[in-house]
Amino acid sequence: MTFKIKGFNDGLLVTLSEGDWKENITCFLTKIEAQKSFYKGAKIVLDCGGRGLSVVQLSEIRADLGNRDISLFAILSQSKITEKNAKLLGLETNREILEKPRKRLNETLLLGRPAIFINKTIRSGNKVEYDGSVVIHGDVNPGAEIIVAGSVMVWGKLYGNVVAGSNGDQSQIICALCLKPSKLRIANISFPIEILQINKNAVKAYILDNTVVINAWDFK
Amino acid sequence: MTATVVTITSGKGGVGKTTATANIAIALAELNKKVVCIDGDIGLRNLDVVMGLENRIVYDIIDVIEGRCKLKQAMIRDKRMEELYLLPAAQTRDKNALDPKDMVSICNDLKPDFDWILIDSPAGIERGFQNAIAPADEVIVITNPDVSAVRDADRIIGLIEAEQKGPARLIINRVNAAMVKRGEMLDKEDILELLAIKLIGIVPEDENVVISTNRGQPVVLETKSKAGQAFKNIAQRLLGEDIPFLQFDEKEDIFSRLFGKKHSGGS
Repeated sequence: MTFKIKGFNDGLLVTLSEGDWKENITCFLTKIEAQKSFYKGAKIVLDCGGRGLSVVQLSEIRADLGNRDISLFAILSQSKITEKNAKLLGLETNREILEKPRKRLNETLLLGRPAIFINKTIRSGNKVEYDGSVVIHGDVNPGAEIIVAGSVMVWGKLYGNVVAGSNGDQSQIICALCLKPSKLRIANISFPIEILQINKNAVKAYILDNTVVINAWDFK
Repeated sequence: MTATVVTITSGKGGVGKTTATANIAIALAELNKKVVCIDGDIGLRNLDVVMGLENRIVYDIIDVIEGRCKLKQAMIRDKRMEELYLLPAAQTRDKNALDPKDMVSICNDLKPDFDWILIDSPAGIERGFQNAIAPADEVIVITNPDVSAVRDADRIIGLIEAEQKGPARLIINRVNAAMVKRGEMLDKEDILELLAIKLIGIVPEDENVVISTNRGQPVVLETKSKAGQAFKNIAQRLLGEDIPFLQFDEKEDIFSRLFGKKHSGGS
């Protein structure tokens, strides 16, 4: 009745030995009781070996761990049945989670450079170059240039030259309350001048399947 | 007495910096202020011509800087106004003969003796502009109601902000009310929306300006001129008075009726 505990990037990998499931679990829970503070708040990946476990068994152990403030987020098993049942409960079953560090939300948001906020109108002859995203509270006047690797959001009128995704990232967007730029480009795709002259209210410009799209900026 | 230094600039050439400088200076002098104008356009001087003082020049600003004369010797008293002076530019040199430090020191020397120092900036964004802007307490940007002049005004306003001399105030010069009415000219609202600075005056297009410039008799001295009236209003606004901007359309109608022709603007 032994089990192994190993740390990985994001939590603990608990490998249960072969043998009776019930006994194994009881033994594990006893161990947790003995070291409450160590386990409190932990994320656990449970390696169940080759045994086939039912949805009921899996949800029981998840509840037992949950009651002790431990979150079970993945079940690893060679048994197809166990894997299938774990998936039904919304648990991870892929071994790769042990290798790939799971990003927390705030880390994901901070990927790349933080966006910069510019609280003024960018006038003719001024140039904003940045390898992240930029938010401008003001206008971008004719003759001004914005060239950024990320996205551009203008809380004002956009009349100047704008490039988003300057490193080639087509997923970047350009939003403005009034969009009448002299040039607009996302990654390697330039927007034809004709569609820039159609002035709708607040719009969002982006690339979808290599084509340019300008839609209402409706926050949905 | 400590003078306020006002620099009049535009970016683009030919929009009326020199005319505005001369007229505002005379209007301020008429309001009993002690005024000195400095022509910042070294090598392309005009302010002396517009003010009708060309043939009185003996020394100029470069002579002062290079020590050939005293500041007082280079200053020309206006022939009409007791308390109006001109410090002329040198015609045989260029902008590099002066640097921003020199302008600041000249203004500091003049400040105790005057109420207002008006600097007529040259066109452009290079040395001459930097010289003109360096001593400024206030900046007036002048533009015409056309796209290229407004574009350059936007550029120059950005540079003024960068020099931390802002916020500048705006004169829209040579507005043709009839054309604005027909939608053929940018109107006040279009320009103000783009430039986002405060307006200090709108000057109508006026044939008298050309005539008076050629005569060296600034238009502000002509009682009937609409442009002259507009410059007087600007001078009063500089003094902090709240003068309403006259409505264009109404003026236009009255004048069309009075003179039965497409006249040159309202105010």
